[in-house]
Amino acid sequence: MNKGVLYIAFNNNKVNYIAQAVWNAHRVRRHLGVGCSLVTDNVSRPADTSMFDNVFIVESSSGGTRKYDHMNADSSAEWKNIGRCNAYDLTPYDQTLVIDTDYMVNSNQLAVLFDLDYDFLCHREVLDVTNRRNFARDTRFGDVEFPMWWATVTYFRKSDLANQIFSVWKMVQDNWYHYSRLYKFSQDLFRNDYAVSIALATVYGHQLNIPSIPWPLFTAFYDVYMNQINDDCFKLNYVRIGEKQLHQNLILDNCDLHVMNKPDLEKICVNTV
Amino acid sequence: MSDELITQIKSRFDHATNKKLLREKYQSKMTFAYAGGMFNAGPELLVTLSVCNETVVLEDLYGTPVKVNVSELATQTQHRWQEQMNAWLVENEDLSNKR
Repeated sequence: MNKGVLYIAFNNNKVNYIAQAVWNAHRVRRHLGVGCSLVTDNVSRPADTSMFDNVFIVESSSGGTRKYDHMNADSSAEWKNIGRCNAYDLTPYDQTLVIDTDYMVNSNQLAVLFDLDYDFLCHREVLDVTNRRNFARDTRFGDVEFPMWWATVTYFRKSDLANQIFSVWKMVQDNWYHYSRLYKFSQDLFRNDYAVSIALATVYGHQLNIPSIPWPLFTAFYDVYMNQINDDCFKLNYVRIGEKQLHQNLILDNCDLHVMNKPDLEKICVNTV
Repeated sequence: MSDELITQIKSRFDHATNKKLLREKYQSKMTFAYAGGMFNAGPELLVTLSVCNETVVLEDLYGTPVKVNVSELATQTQHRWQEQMNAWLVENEDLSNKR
């Protein structure tokens, strides 16, 4: 079976998602040993597409407006996150990893998913790498405290089960207002995390024994500044607030990371490629 | 001066968090796929395999029964476990020298 990574990326006036996708595409080949394809729109399409097996042009659509830099009030922009549910139809691979462009592939950790006998997997647990418990509330969503799975890394293979999950995911996306009332969360911003969570729970018959990626999603919050030390080694700077403010740093080597600080990630991507 | 620059200048290496992070990282790296199932390399699996015969059915991390070749899985488990423990040791020693 052929396997690969699918990036779905649309630039806006604040974040260059394509630069992140291009930067990560090289890393995917080096660490996971598989090819990458890109789904984007005409406006975002990169000039050089040589690092991608395929480039699919689709129409982008906004899921709402969000802030990209929590330290900067003027950082709001459209979040073109609609259409992730079409990955099943768009992918040229039998086994596909759909990865957010802000997920740095720094190791071969994800390669293990291609060897599993499972049709659909994503993360259920998240780990704040700075141990400040910034995601303590992100295990559930809405007033009904519905369990949340993360759409940041999604593995699937062509199968009936995966097809059903993506179909429900699309149904949730197309009827966002209805589901926001049903599960009692804000309808203002479309969230793929919520949509995939509802899809998984629905397809698995509303029981919680749903297979997920068996390690946490290593994540750095918006206020973590990053510097690249070498190819796969990064220094993370952050402030720990207790009785007094402590400025601290961490070294992250050969370990994948979901980066929420988009401006810092973009600086790294632009400087490296 | 920007927040970023201040944070960088004042920052001290966070030993406790880095140690915890290393543990999480290497726990993640202990997971591996075999015969379509997911297993955790470590002493527990090795001991289980040591009391099994040629072929056995084991429960994987997802609670799914998987038929495994005992010697093959033991070799892979031992290899993965020691490879990652050695890498963990090296990184841990590096970190203890950082300021």
